[in-house]
Amino acid sequence: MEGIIKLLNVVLPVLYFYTTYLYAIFFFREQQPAGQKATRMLHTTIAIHIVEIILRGVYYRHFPVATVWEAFSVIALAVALIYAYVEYRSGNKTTGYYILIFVFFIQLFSSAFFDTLKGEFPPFLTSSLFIFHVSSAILGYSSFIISAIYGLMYLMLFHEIKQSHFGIIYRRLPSLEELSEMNVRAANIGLFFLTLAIILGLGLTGQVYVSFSPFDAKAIITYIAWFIYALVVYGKVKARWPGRVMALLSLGGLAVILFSMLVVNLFMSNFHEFK
Amino acid sequence: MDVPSEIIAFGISHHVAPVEIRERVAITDNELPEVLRRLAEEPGIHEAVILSTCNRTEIYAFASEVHRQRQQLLAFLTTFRPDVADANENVFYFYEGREAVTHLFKVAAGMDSMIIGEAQILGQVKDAFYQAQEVGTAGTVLNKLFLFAIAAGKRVRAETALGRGAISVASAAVELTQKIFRDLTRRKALIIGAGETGMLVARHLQEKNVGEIYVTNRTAERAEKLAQQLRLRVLPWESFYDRLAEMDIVIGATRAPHYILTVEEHGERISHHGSDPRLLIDIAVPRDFEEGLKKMPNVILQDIDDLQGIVATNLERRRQEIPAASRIVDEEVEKFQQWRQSLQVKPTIIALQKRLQALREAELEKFKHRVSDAEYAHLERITQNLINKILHLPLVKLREYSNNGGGLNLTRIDVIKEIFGLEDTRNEE
Repeated sequence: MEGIIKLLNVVLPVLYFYTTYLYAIFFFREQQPAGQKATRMLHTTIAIHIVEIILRGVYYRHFPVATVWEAFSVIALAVALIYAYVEYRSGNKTTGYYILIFVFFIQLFSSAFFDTLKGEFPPFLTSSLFIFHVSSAILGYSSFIISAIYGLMYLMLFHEIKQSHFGIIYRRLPSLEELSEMNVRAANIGLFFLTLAIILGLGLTGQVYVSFSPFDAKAIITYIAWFIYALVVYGKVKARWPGRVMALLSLGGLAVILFSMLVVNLFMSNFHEFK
Repeated sequence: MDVPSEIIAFGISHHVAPVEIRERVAITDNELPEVLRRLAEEPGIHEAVILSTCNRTEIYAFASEVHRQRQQLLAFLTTFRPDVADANENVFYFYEGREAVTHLFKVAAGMDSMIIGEAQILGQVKDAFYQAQEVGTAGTVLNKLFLFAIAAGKRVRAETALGRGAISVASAAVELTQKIFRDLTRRKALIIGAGETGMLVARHLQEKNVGEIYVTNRTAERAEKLAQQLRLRVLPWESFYDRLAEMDIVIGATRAPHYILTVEEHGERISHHGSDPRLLIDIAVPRDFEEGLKKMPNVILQDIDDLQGIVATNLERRRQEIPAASRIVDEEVEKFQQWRQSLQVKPTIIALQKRLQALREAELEKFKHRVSDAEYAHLERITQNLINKILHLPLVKLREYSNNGGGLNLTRIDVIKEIFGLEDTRNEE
């Protein structure tokens, strides 16, 4: 079974690349059939990705988030799933390219640095509380990533209109109002799940971690990300800040999340380290 | 031997004739039924449809004696419009067969229009067809031809971007509005200036269901008149500035020689607008809004040149779609031609059967009184079986060609008719 997992691990970035390519054709060449093909390819890729995650869970006997690169793959799947749902609900495929190019790179990194825990590992990796905690955190981060990508699209379209460039971005992206709504809605959902993850994480500390400091770099970064996206929601709902500000904030939030995923997880924190 | 009939198209359009000539040829809706009736009485014209718009007047007909129809139709038009006689004959075009079919399909798809991809023409083609149906001048061939043309027009619109994107300044302004705001029903728009341009934009905004549309004008009566005409709300010229802050869309369409909105006087009111940007559209010349407003943080200001830029981009994009549209037209023309071939095959099958039956009956008749009843019945069976066997392979092949649409052209059918001495049975269908 390990051979199949390793094969799927190589196949997944290729599939995401091809899916992104189809969405790019749909976006830039405005070919309707490419859009339908892209959606079918996305669904197929998601299905294969789910199979790969299940195989990993069964074969290595833990929820596959024990390492940073495993978590990357689950985040890629979560973002792709959330996007597929948004596309299904809105019927709009024009944002697919921008979301899936990100998914492709996350999966590429995950596959390139493929590793996992083998043999002895802490039993909490299979506990339901831990799985809920991790699932919530992943859904939270995935929603923040989507929020940031919609923010990026908002800034691109705003800039194009402001500069009187009426090319492909002007023609193909949805309205600024719609992009801003998606930007804030995704931040809202992310906020809910990350809050849940933090609460469940606090519940886990007694059972799981020998030493947990509230000043752990990972924890601090998580609070910062949470705070930034809370500002996005506050800016829209209460302060009525311009959409541009919310878009910039969510991009700042994404930078923090990436920093947390890469630098903090790999080099700075012994918290969330299960080896 | 029957006289072969063909689809023809004869007419005049904006490509070759200026408006002074087009208007002389144009046929009004009131005249059309009578013109159609008289056209159908012309020698060799079996069916006819007339398409007359401001950019073209075209006669589509299913006619025999095709070689003389150009002159005949020109003479026919001259009887209705004597002025046509003064026009250069070369401004009229004449297509026959596949060329005529392709021309109509391109017209229906908007590929032959002055503004490529404009949507109105498809409706005009439908109207022309329905009128001919009402008068009774559209028969089997033109009925099918126009149904195929309408389907081709719809396909081109659905599968290409030929008809997409604003192509006038007023519609470009509305397109821009929709790029900023998704739901226009809860938006407020103010139009400064109640002239022709202001009215045009107001109409477009109304079509898109903008929640509240206000108009203001230096001369209050003009604003009132426009407001009444289009059911808008009026803001007094002296105080409309006080309401600027609540407007999502502000359109400048005055003929004022100076700026109506400036950074210094109105910048503060304009720049604060919550989450969504405020959209200022300046379609006045000289401009109504000071250019410095463009630099305000949450303000989008576009002037007439910007809107013309949108129009130019959209027109270029439409031109780029022509090859894709042509492919669809070619496919639809091919389907229509296949249908025509099948139409030719069916009467030939019937004629062939009738011809051999007639020969059989004539030969049997010679023996009727020379043999006994039992022998005659025997002869009937033998000859019937013989004819069935002779006809079997040719009929199977004809039906195959008819269903496949390929391999059998009209010349070959004519050869079959000639060899067997068949009469044209198309009218019996």
